[in-house]
Amino acid sequence: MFNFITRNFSLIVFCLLMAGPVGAYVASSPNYRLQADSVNFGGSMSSSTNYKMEDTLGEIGTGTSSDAYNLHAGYQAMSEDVYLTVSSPSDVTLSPAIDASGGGTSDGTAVWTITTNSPAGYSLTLSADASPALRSAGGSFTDLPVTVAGTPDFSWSVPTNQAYFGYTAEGSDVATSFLDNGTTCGTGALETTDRCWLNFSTSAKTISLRNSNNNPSGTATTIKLRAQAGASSGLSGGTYQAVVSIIAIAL
Amino acid sequence: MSLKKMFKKSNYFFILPVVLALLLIGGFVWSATDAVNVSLSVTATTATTCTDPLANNYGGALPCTYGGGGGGLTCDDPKATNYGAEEACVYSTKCEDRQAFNYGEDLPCLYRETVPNVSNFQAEFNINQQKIYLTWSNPNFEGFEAVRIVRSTFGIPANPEDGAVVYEGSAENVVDPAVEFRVRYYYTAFVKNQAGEYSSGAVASAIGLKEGEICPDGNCGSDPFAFLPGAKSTVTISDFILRQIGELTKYFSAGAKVKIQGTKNLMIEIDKNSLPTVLKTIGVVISDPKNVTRSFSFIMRDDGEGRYLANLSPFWRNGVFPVTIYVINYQDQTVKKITGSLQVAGVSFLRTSGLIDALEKYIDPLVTMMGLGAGLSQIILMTTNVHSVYDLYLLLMRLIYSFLSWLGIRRKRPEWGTVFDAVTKQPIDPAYVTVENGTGKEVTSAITDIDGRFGFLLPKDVYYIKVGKTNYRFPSTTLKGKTQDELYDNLYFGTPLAHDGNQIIRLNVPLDPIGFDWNEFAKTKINFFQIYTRKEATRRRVLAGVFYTGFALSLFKVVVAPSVLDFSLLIAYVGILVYQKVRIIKHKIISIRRANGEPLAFSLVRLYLPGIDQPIKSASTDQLGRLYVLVRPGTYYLTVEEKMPDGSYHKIHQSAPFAMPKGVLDQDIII
Repeated sequence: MFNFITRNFSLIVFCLLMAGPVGAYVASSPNYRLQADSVNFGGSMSSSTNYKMEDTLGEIGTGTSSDAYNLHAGYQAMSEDVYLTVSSPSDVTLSPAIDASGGGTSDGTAVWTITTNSPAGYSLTLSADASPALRSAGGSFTDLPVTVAGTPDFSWSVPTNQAYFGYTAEGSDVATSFLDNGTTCGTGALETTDRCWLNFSTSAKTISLRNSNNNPSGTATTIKLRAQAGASSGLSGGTYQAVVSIIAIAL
Repeated sequence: MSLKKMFKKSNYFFILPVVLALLLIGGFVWSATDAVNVSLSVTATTATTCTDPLANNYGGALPCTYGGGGGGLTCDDPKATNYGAEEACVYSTKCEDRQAFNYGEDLPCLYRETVPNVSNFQAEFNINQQKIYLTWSNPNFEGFEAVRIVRSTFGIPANPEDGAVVYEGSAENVVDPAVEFRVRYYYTAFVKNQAGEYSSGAVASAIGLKEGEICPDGNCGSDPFAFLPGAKSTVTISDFILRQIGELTKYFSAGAKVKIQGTKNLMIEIDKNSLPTVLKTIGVVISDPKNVTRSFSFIMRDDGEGRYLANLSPFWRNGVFPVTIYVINYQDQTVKKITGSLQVAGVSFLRTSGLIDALEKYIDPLVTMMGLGAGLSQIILMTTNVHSVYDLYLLLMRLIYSFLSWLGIRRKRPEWGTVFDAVTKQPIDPAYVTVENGTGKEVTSAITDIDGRFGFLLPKDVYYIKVGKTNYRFPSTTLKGKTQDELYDNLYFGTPLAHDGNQIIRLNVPLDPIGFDWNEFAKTKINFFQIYTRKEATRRRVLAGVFYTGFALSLFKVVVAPSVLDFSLLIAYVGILVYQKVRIIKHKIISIRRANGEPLAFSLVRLYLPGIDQPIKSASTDQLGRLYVLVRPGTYYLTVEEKMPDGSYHKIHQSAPFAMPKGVLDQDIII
């Protein structure tokens, strides 16, 4: 075995370079995650005028390659690369248009599908580019004022003299803030449709969280956007715009 | 080629960069971003019809109306006060649930509880050993896993990874060795629950100083925050919220004196919005009302949802506790300080005096040990012949058998006979009696009772009986060849025994004492009596003392802080007392002695019915001249035969007939 390693030393180095990063982590703390580790043994002390080195031997990868394949065998040449993909929905036009003098409600949806092979899953956060989020040159919709900061309200309601803009998140990986127990959000395991509305914020809000891989199918998170103006909100006419951003991170 | 040569020096220059590259690559995090543009067209024409598709009269005359089921602005939230009304929901957000942390507050009820902190976390520098001693009290809650203590010299560790781990476990003290002089050490104790969540942290700090040195940072007290710059400025900020389960929510602000329940956990909370945006930590220092230089501190943690929180365990006593809250902005190194006090009430005297804790810590095991020891000693006192550890084992076995018989699990055996000391004629207990069949196989066994008696339930067969006892020999050689002696008949020496299954057997088995010389004893018995009586009296006093002390402690514990174990122990004590009383009635012990006080050891006493020459009952006294007899109530006369130095017996006394209404001798006999 050792003769084999000696003969193919350059190939070993080549394979180690090809192995790339390993996504799964074997140890972690809140400040770091250790992607790979190995138990080292043996070794010796070497020195020269300028340095001293204590070395150890780790597990040894083997490998060979051909035109058709690369073989990554052995401990350090572990697994495939970690990846994360995010679908890109089109821009959203809320509909129907609202007549300010009569009031109205406009809805729209954006669906992001996250796929990752990371065994630790992913997190998805959402934010708006400004506060208030939905605005025009002449005015804006108030970001939905929720009862408890950071906790969605179970019901959507808008006084007649106000205009609000907010959203809810739905999907199998949705964060617990958006789950409900039939009457309150942030508790329970239900995902009642069209409930648990929250205001947009310029700070990122976690909307989906998963602790396992979901490849190849991925998981969709639906963001339902709603704008409502009361009949006497005093909104001015025009095109109101918002930019909603998401960040998906493989854990 | 050896491994060593293979990985020789020159190759390291090649391998190292590769390894470093791998480490770097391995540390990348994978992420992606995306954004959508959202647009909405709002028209401000003067509409004449309702244009809201969610309204009931969509397309109809203005104004839009809502409600009547299925969409629209009907209040369909059962939590709203106007549930079902054709209008936007209105909420009374007051929390009405007493179990919630924010009971009475104008907010939806909150039930989440954070992990409580340790209490009374103190750090003290020991100048002789140059070590810092850390002590604290663990919180008492289900799910408690461990305490992690983290140390730093830069500042207060704000989270469980913010420093070196000094200790992790469930003890309540630890020593931090090898600390340097004139260096301030900050410790934060984080409580971990079984779900892996940590408390916000309790803080303590100490600095090692040599004799006569002054504190380099001007802070010699135990308040770890006092050294911070700007700590002297007092500024009013928003109220801190104090919550306890089942209590109304209270607010703590500068100068406030807030009443809280000392027996419940206390959650302290403040909304992030009322604090500086760049903030590292909030520290709370609670001082001991009896000694203001002594305090315990903890930090409030950002819970990630807009609040700073800390959870305190119940207080150990009532009182007015001065409180100082430091809001520390590490960016510009300023501190806002709020002072006030907590008026703690509701803590019982017993808990305050530490009595209950002391009881649970020290007295419980003591009571248990004493009880067991005293019980065991009582058992020993009740027997006569404990010579070895093996005898103790036999006693224990006998206890178990009698318990089983009492329960009915083991059938009561008919009495076959008595094992007795061939020289002194005393019954021997405990002795181990075995029965073998014709092939030498052991069929059954028994342990003699307090009167030396044994018995068996056996089918018809031929048996051999063997008896074992430490310091005794079987079969007896002293009485070999005899069929009876002064006290016992049907003497048995190991010969085959034909049992027909029904016959009542009467066997009396003598055992020769090894190492006991009656002659020698007869010469020195006066000295023996003096010493033995004193020893015996002392022994009884000590054992009784242990027993009654254990009994008193057990009773006290049951009254003050009872538990199942305490009740069981108390019942055991009472049981032993009752048993003793019962025994005394039935086994009243008297002694026989001469007028000069000398006891008549190993003498024989026989009871006769007047007019009949046959003794009804015979017994021998022990080494101190004591015996007991139990006969049917009636009138008897007795004789006393003294054992002579040569081993024979000589009658020295005959009484006149006397009444024994209870069937026991109740008076010492003086000759």
